[in-house]
Amino acid sequence: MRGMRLADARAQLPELLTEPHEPEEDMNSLLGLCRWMERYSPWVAPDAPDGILLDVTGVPHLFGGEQRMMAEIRARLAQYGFGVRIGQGATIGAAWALARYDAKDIESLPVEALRIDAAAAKTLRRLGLKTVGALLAIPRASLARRFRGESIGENVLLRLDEMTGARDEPLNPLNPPTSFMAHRALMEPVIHAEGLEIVLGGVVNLLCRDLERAGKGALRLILKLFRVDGSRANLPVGFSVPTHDPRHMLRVLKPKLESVDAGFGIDAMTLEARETAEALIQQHGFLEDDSTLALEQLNDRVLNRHEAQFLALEQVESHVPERAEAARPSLKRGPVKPARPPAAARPLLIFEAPEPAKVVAAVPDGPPMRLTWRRVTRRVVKAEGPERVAPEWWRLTAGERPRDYYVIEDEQGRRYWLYREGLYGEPGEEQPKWYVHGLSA
Amino acid sequence: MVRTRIVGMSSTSYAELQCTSNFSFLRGASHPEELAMQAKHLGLSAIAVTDRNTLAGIVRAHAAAKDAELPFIVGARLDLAEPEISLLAYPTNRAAYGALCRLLSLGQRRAEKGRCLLTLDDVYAHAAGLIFALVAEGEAHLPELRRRLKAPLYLAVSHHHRGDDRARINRLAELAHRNQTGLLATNDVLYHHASRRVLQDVVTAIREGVPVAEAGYLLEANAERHLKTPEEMARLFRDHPQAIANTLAIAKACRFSLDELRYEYPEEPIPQGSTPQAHLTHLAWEGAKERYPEGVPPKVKANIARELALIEKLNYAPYFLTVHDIVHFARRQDPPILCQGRGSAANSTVCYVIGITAVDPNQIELLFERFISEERKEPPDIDVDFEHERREQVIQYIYQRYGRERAGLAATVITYRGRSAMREVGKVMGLSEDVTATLAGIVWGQMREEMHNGRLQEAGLDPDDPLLARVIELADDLQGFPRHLSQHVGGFVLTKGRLDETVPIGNAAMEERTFIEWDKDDIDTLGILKVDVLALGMLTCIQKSFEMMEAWYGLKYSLATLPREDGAVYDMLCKADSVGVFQVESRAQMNMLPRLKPQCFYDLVIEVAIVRPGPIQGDMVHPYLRRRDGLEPEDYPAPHPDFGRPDELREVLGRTKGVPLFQEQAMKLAMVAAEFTAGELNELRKAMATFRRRGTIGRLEQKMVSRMVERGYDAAFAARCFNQIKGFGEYGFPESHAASFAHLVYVSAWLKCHYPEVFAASLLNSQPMGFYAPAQIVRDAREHGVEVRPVDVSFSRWDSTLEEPSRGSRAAVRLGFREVDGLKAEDAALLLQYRAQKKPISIASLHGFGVPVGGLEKLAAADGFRSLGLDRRAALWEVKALAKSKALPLFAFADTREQGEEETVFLPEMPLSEHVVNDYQTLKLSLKAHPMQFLRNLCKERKVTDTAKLKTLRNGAAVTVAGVVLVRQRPGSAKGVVFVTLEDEFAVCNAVIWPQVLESHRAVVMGARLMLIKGRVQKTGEILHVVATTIEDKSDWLPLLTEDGTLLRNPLARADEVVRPGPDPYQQQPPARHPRQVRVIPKSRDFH
Repeated sequence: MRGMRLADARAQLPELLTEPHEPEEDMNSLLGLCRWMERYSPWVAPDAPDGILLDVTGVPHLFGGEQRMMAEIRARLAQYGFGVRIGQGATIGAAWALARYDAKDIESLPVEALRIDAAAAKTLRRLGLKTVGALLAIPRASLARRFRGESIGENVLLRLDEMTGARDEPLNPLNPPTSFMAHRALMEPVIHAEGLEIVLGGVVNLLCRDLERAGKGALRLILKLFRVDGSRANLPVGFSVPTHDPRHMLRVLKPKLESVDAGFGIDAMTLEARETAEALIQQHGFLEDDSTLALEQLNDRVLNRHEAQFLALEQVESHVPERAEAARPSLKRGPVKPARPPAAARPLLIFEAPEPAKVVAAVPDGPPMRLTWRRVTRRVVKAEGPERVAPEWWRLTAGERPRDYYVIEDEQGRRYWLYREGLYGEPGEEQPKWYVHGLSA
Repeated sequence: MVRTRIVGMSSTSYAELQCTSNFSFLRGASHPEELAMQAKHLGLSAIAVTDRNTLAGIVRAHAAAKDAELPFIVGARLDLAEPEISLLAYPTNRAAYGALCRLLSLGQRRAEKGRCLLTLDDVYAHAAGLIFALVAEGEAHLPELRRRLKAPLYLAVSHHHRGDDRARINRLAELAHRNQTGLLATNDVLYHHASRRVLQDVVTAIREGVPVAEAGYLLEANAERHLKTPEEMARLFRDHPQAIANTLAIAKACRFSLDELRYEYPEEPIPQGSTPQAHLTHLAWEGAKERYPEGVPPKVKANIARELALIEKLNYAPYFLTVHDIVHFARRQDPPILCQGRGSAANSTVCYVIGITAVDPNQIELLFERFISEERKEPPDIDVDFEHERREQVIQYIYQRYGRERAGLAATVITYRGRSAMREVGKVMGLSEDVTATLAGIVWGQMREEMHNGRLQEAGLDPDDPLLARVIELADDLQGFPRHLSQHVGGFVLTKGRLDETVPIGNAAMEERTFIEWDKDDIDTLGILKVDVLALGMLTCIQKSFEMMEAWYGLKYSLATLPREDGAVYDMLCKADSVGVFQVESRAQMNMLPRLKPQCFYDLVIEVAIVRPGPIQGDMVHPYLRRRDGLEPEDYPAPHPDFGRPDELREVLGRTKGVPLFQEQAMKLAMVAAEFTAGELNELRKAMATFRRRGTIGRLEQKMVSRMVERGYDAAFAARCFNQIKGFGEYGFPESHAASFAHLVYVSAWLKCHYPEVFAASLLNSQPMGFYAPAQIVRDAREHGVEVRPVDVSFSRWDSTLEEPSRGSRAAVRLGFREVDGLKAEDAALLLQYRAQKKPISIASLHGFGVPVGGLEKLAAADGFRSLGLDRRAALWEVKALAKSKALPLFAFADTREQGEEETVFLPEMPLSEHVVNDYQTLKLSLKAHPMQFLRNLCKERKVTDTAKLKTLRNGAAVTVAGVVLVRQRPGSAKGVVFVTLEDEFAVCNAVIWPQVLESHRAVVMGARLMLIKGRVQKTGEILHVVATTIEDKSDWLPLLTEDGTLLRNPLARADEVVRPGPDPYQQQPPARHPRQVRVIPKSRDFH
């Protein structure tokens, strides 16, 4: 219910599902639906937040009459999960009202159906003017005198005239969507790869020219190859940055052609940009190879060929050493949160699995004095520590214990990075254990 | 495998001088008290709590340390504007403490609320007598500080456990040595026990606004920043024993204790050459002569003499004089500002004769000594209530009289409550918003205990989920943590010397307001004088009543001179006829009145105190009532003869028939029956005030119950006594306050009983206040024979006024313009200005005078033009025709011509039911009829019993009731039961909805504006409830009221079907607006 506080709604219905209000998303869906509605009329306009206006002059007979057309719209939208109410009228005002209020004629519509604001409607009701019919019975001069509001929502007379048609109200249709597509029909079917590559070069150039003119770049392409026998091969490709560079596009698309079975020959080819975005404006270098986007382009070529991805190591803020580094897709889109390096020094080599060791050390937290690791016993000559790292409790993994890290040096000057898992004096029976976790130079 | 070597331990001493408590908001993770108690437990020699740029937590730590007999060192951590520089500052004496307070005040006054801006230069200027320690992160500044700071300086170092401690501390020691400063060992404590690391991580995440899992290096790497034993500290600093020794040296040098802030009373109110005691004595005897014009009775004389002697002994005279001065100021105003004192010291004959209170303690035998004890050295307590609309005048007077350097508002510590704690913790623990909201929605008291009682499952959550369990546990711990300081509503602290040398003063969010860092409890602890200057709506109402009675009936009354013990007043209250009466007008009180049947003033004192969580949770109400009705003997549990006199409890509980009802009695009970010492009582009182502190209360419970049992009391009785004390923790009500409130109950009841028209008008003019909306006040007045007249342009003023009656001698009430929703006071003022010219009134003339169209439209919509022969619709039609701006006379004609001559328009006549609806929409009440009246036919179809006939039904009878929902309540003490009050054209009816019925009808119970309830009558004496079995939402009846009336006149019309055509899968018509959204009647008042 509009205007109700969420807490009140929850008090009534504790299991209430909530979604944040996203007006932009709503508008996008509405626009999408408008596009879809263009199948019924070329003259479609969104009526935010919850309506769509269609000018269907001369249209219904194409669908077998008004009733059938409305039934079809209803049925199809129902399939998509939309409940819909349809009103049809000679003016926008009338259609708007009939889509929202049931009435046998305009006169019996309530005044709220006039697209006026709530305050104006309330005043009209207070005056006993509850229906459009009642308003129509009032002399125009009297209405004009009282309801010449500054905003359109207050201007009852204007809305009334728009409903009756005494005043024209234009419908501003959506601009047709721009689509990027290049098509080549061939005189003779082509079977050989060389031939296909030439044709491909043609459509790529065409498409890139259109894209560049519109300042767009393609993110997803679909290449359709029409065979002589009527069958079709679809080859989708994707790009990590919007592109309209024909050379790059070709390099990505060409290998795809290799896998295509041309059958008795290909007689038409369509390249369609399924997803586009504002192109990155970039200056081309003087040399042929353009290295500014080299990494992305390499990525595109590899990814489109093999279903794999590049990983990059990145720093993660965690006191637990093995968690301070993570791999993630190297070209993942979105902002990268810069992480600081750990406060304490880390060795050059960290073992993936810490290796158990035997250590002699003073209790509770004295540094190791002797280390036995990989069956060799070493005497410790220098030591630093402890660095105490407590478990990351929010991970809720049971049994993790705090660690004390030490850097030690043996008689040969070799440095080891090791830790004791568990502290002396902790509750529990388990004795602390030692591990070597890394090596320094 | 592991060979161990025992490190030698010697008995060592150590004082922790760097502790951050949770008063460094969202940094420290322990209460100051916890730090002090743990320090004692670990055997530290002393402790300092050093919060960031604040002393807000030190009083609590001081008190806890004092209880534990642990030396406490006052200190603060000064985070300076220069980056990296933080100084620990410890005052050695009172003067240095004053300097520290001034330094912090300076920094806080400079910055916005809650911040502090200090530089090194400020520190240099306030350094005398302070000992400083530079926190090691600012080591680069050590040479400069050493050079310029004219005070002892140390370098504070701690182990970070980052691997490099040894090297780092050696280097710092070297640096300190080079600069001839000492090294100071600290552990830079953030929490009292290692287990609080988790909560510290959580508050850090809350502070930084990131989820815990993403907080990374913002969090500490380990759990080492807790208080450690002297042995452990000595081991850590074994290479630097001097650093440990220095902690003791500082502790020894800091001799200053907060106990030195002994209050010094302001001298203003005492005439030159007199002493406070002499002046008070003079005022008392002069006042006595006025109070008793026929001569002061000997008994009163004796009381005054005895009280004055006690006051002299305890040195309270300046306190009484200060309060007297403020009250005297209020009385001097024209008209006087009505006020009344309450509190422990207020129930004295002296307060009565010097005019602070109007309750004669000799009449009700409230003895001063019962409230003031010599042994307990607590400061006297007088709160003064003032008319709520005029309290600001009093506050300004205090500032003007004592100056801002010497008068300041106390702080209120805003703490995390269940919901806020849950919300914040849920957010940083990564719970989704809806789960967090759900959790926050079901918290109720102690969360850990509640976890498994089914509420979680009900809400669709899994109580065994470890993350959820963690969140609940953490939120539970966070409860009671301070979030920020806010100004107290009216607690003033007054000092003789500069206030900012006693406590730091900071800016409030409100312009021109400042407040000190300590709250009321802190001030109490230190025994500093405070006066509570509070606002009370009922005093405004009573003052307005007195003024109206003098103006209209020529009767002059005051709080003290109203006829006392008037039987008619008590008869009225016994019938629960108490709408509008102070304190006893709520549903719960109305239920209690006929059971308690108050017959005298002291009964009202009990009535005020009994309907409170304390007595209710302690199960004291029913025993008291049974004993009062003589159904149960008054018995006094006695200790075993070996341990005490058998009548020891009779002295404590005799006035309340053996049942403890007042807060003081609970305390006294612990003292007498469980032999609590003054110290233990103090602890108990504190545990009661902050019942959140787990552990303490449990320990005290055990102590009290076991001691009572030991002394021969029944264990069940002992447990009941303690439960009551726990109840008081949530809302304690002391007898001394109840007595003052009871007087206002009596005064307001007297006014209602004898002058209902005056009382109703005053209540309307004092809104918003009290429990009931204007509609109920007006309805109640009319039921008492008061003629109420509608708002009208020709007669109304802004306030409701009295008018010549049409019959009888009782004046009629004319509703004021203030009842018209949305009408601006300045528009009404213009209208009254025009009326004062005595020219003919018309819509055009008012508009011509400059009353804006908006205002006139509001008045027309409220049907305020009847005296001009225009009903709402006609008036509105005419107003709508006016030009929006003020018409200049010259152009008036032109305007008309331009718009064309008006044709006569016939608007349909507005039916009565629609008028009523419009009245509710514009005035929130209607004098014409009640909406339910028009729905009677529909009700008859549903066999609804109206509230007038309800009384005739027997107990247990099946019944259907319907009405407009006035109030929904779910009292915390009633275990999920919801009370709903319905109203129809005859009266109101209370329905009880038990949890299981609530669950199946939740949406209806919470959302319906008009309800139909089927259930059974439950009658206890005069009180009648309907216990609901099914509930229907009938809000869709309300729009019918505006449907041209025809539907309502014809009961046979199937209203629903006419309004809404039958269903059709595609054409199904959701009504344009949900009926509940139609604001036919004002929203109910829910869950107060």
